Amino acid sequence: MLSNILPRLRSYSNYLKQFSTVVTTDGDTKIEPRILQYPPKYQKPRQVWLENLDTIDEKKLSLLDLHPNIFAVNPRIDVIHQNVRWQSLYRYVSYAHTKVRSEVRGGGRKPWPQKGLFCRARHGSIRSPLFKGGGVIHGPRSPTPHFYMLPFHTRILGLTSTLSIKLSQDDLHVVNDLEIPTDEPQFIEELVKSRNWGPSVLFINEVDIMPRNITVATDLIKHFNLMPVYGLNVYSMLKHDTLVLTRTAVDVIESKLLTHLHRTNTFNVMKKYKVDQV
Amino acid sequence: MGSKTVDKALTMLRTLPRVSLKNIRDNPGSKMTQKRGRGQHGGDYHGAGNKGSGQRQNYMRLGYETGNRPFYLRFGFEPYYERHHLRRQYPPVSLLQLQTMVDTDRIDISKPIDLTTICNTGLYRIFPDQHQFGINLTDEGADTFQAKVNIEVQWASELVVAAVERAGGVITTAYYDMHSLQCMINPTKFFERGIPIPRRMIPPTDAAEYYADPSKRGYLADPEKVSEERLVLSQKYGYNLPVIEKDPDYEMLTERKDPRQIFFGLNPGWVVNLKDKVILKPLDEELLQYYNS
Amino acid sequence: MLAFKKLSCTLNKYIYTACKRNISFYDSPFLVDHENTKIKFETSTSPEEWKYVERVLPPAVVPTPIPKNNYPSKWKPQGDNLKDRPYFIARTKNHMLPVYLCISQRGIRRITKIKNIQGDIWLLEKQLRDFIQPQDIRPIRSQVNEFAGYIRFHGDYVNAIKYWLMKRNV
Repeated sequence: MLSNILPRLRSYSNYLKQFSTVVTTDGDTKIEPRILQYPPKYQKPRQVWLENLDTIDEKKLSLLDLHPNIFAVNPRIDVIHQNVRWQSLYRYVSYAHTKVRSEVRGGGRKPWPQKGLFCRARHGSIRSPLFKGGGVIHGPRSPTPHFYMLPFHTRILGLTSTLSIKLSQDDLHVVNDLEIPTDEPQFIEELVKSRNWGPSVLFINEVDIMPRNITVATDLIKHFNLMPVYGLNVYSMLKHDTLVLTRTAVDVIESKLLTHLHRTNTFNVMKKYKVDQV
Repeated sequence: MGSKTVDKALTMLRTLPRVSLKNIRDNPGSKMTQKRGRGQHGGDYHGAGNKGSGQRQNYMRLGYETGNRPFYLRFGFEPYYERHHLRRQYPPVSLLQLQTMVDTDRIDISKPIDLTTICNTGLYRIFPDQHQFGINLTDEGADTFQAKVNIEVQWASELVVAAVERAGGVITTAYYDMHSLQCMINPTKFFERGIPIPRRMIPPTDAAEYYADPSKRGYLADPEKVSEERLVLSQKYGYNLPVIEKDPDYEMLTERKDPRQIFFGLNPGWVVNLKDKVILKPLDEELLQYYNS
Repeated sequence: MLAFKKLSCTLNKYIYTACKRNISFYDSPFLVDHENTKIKFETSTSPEEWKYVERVLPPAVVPTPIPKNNYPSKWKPQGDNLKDRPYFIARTKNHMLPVYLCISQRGIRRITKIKNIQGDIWLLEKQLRDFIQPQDIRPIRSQVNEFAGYIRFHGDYVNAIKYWLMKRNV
């Protein structure tokens, strides 16, 4: 499989060079470089351009460092699949219902005597599962919840894997803030189209209250969605083609995920979901 | 997780299609499907065996040995379980583990150490509802123990006491009843309950002897006799007893809790409000009398 | 006799009310807001007393160890300037070496697992095997999982491997 991909790799690297843009930055505002918590000892920090959302043409304001333990993690497709499956299933309640032999109408009396009738088999009720119209044995019983909790670190690994994949596939963009000049949806559509940001975009802000212009502009467009940092999840990141984070959102995500990776105790986190274990 | 392989994998992804909800799956072989005895090949006996209680879904009760006296009924008297529900357990922490915690700065030795400090590191857990009454400091690593600590445990052998005192520290054994332990092991959870800090109970009769013994450094023992025993132990094990009085950390090393106190500096009867960062103290005479007794 | 009977009756009544069994929703009263409490209390916001409360609360994150001159327990912190090394073994969040002993259910099979390996894993495996091999006549079987970043050796060589890694300041 690798031999199939490696020649493609070489040919694609030349192909991708055509799309590199070098834009001069404004020398007016000084943007502070990012300081990483828990500085990495071996892996190099990943770098990403800090872009702007004010104009349709992108301006690269500065280079930001990203922690490799969050943005350059082993891309675990199976862990991502488990996260997506968990997100879809844990809230799901199945309302399918079948009647058991005691619930089916009728079938209280013995249909015919036990012995004597040599043509018929012995039966106790006409609603037994053997009969047509009888009860279902192990059928669905409503309501059946499918709640389960994925282990804490599996969920964290899902988030970090998805962020790493988004960054490596050039689908992650960091923006200084979500302020746009007009509340016209045309502006945002043109911006996304010109920057090749993919049909669907997920904008992530650190607070749940977003600037007015962008909320009005993206209100009616269903494939541009705004989300606060606490709503970041694997399903949404995969559903949307491009992920746009604000600089402060990146700080919040990194600090939260790094705190969880360096916690003193993890047994308290999953305690309430454990039933018979200690 | 290797950075070379991680870089390889992430670079490979740059040429592969975008990872989306449609092209993700579990690792092959990770999910085992349930095999039911149905269909052409699972049929015949349908996974229920031939005849007997198995096929007829009329199973024998657990432990039944087809007629002969079963194992669980053979022995009418098991004296080794007598009073097992009253026996106290002290899960161990070795001196080596304690030294490692000190070296990695999980524990601050500039303050007294007790059960709460060790549980707060997250490296040690206690379950009071399972008859576990505290820390048993074991002697693994007694030769290389060098930390000068003021430590309060629930059980310590003579060698452990000698090792701690040789390093210039102070060790005390103290008793905590189950309710006090519940407060100690998870202080945040206890403060959030909003109930006043309880009084620590005195040890039961079979433990009172241990905790009043100066050679065991019990918290109910006479301090003068304890200092006598310190000298005796130093002579027995052959080390120079460090003079605590001249130590700059003398105040910290002699900081002790009242026999009715659970936390340092917080008296029983107080209610701690974590949200508003306020402590509520009772002024009622009856309550003050009760909590100060 | 009568007096004795009366006493036992009252005693029974007290015992009965002291431990209520079979309590249901209808037995337990609703919560009542006691605004006018008779119990007098004072609130104290002194920072000295609050320091004692903060002492008792646990830290959220594992603290980074401060460098010291000597470590009586045989623990050593990870060295600096390891970027030139061909491989790197990341410490666990508790700053310990990720070398574990995996024992099978009946204690027969013992496997040493080294995790969190980054860089040239094959080189590390060869070096470790050369170090451990003299301890056994039979060839030591190993498994290298390059993608997951771990090596497994058949046998109990945990202490030997930890010693080897500590020597190299990893």
